[in-house]
Amino acid sequence: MVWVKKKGIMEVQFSWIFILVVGAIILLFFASIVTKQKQSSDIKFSGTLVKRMRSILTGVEVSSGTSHKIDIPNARIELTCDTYSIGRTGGSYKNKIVFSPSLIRGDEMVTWTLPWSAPFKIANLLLLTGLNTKYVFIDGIGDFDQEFYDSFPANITKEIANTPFNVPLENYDKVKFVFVNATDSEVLSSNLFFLQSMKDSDVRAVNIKSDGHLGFFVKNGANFQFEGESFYIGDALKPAAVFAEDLEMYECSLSKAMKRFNFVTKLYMNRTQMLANANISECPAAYYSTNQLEQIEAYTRSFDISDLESLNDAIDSLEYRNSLLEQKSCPYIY
Amino acid sequence: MRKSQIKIMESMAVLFVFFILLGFGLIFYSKLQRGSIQETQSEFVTLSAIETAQLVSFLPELSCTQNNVRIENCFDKLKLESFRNYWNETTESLAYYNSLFGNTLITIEEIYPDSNFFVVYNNSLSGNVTMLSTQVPILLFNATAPKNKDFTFGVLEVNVYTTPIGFSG
Repeated sequence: MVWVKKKGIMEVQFSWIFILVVGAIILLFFASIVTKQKQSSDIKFSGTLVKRMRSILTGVEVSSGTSHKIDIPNARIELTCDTYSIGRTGGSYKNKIVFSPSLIRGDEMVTWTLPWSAPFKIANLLLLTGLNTKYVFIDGIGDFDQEFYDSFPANITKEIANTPFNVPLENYDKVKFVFVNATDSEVLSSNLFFLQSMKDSDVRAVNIKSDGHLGFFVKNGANFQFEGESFYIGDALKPAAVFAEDLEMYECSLSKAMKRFNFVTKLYMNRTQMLANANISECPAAYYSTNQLEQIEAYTRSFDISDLESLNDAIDSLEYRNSLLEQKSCPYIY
Repeated sequence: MRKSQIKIMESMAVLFVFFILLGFGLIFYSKLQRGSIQETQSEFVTLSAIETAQLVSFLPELSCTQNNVRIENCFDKLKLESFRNYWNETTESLAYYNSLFGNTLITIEEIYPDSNFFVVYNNSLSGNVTMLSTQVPILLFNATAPKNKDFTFGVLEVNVYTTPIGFSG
């Protein structure tokens, strides 16, 4: 047979096969290195953003009453009540009290730090949002508070609309409607005609009532559905309810806030007792009775919404007592 | 030996040397990465120390307020006394402040005109640990002192402890 006698042909074929096999092995090896490096690089980038986010959150937390716009180059940040994640990396807020949508996407994130006092300073509330969430303040249903609207940072996506019906479909990930002193039936009967194609969970509403109650609603088809009720104490929690993704996130952060409220109240009770024991001359016996502080401590230890009015009364009473001390040039309770 | 066998052995030798050199390259790269990780850890510890110091400086439980108006860089002595006694009073408060401050030692030294030393919070580590210290000059306010002696000078020191990477002890 011819091919058996052609040794050169055999050698050449074997050589090529050998080159192809080894070449493939080397290419696969380098391709796997490149893939692993890309994954590692993505994780490193996410890690850098997470580290940056942590510094940002700590920095803005202490900058009470300020709003900042932070560059987050084309990032996708997923947030819950306790944690945030960017890609495969994430972090925890620790004990920061944060209210935000569940997704912040894009090139910018807005932070707003509000001091929460009732009546003494308890904590700074961190409100986060992105330009991918639109906030629509309704002025044709219930009341409209221009001052409340103006207090929101100018660099968030906010607008005023007569009714939810007038709001067109635009390229936003989430839309949050804000009602003030509307009735539940007015909110439920609102028509979301142009937003029907949006996912139900991405269109929500909050109804802020002046008696301290909050109503949370979520889209269901072309209308709203009642999600649940909560409360606020002090003005800072009203914008917090607007920024929170939903009732669950609001209540989760609120429970952290109430726990903190309880700890700070206990501290002031101890402090007031020390002031009483100091027997400061010409100062009234205001320090000897810590009724209001005890009431606040009891209510914040395990809060029920039926206690809201009593808690607000205790807070107002404490504020009044503290202001009386100023008239006598005596040390304040807080 | 046949020529083809020699050529194959030559090719194998080349590949062998190539992979040896590649191995050296990977070892060198991994050593660089390890150095970078340790640098990142060091950065993290520094950042953590500064964050904790910032947190402590602005904590409502310790800050001076006059009718709810905060005084900058000021700590209330009565609040300090209260906080020292109650932060670990219950399991709940202990867990809360441990998660807030972590492995930290927070002290305040009153230096002028009086001299005092307060350990505000202590959850330090011992053994082979990295410690980073941050010191901040502060005012101390005593509400029970006479008006012209109610403010004194002090130094807040925040020591943050971490375990170095690779140390399992």
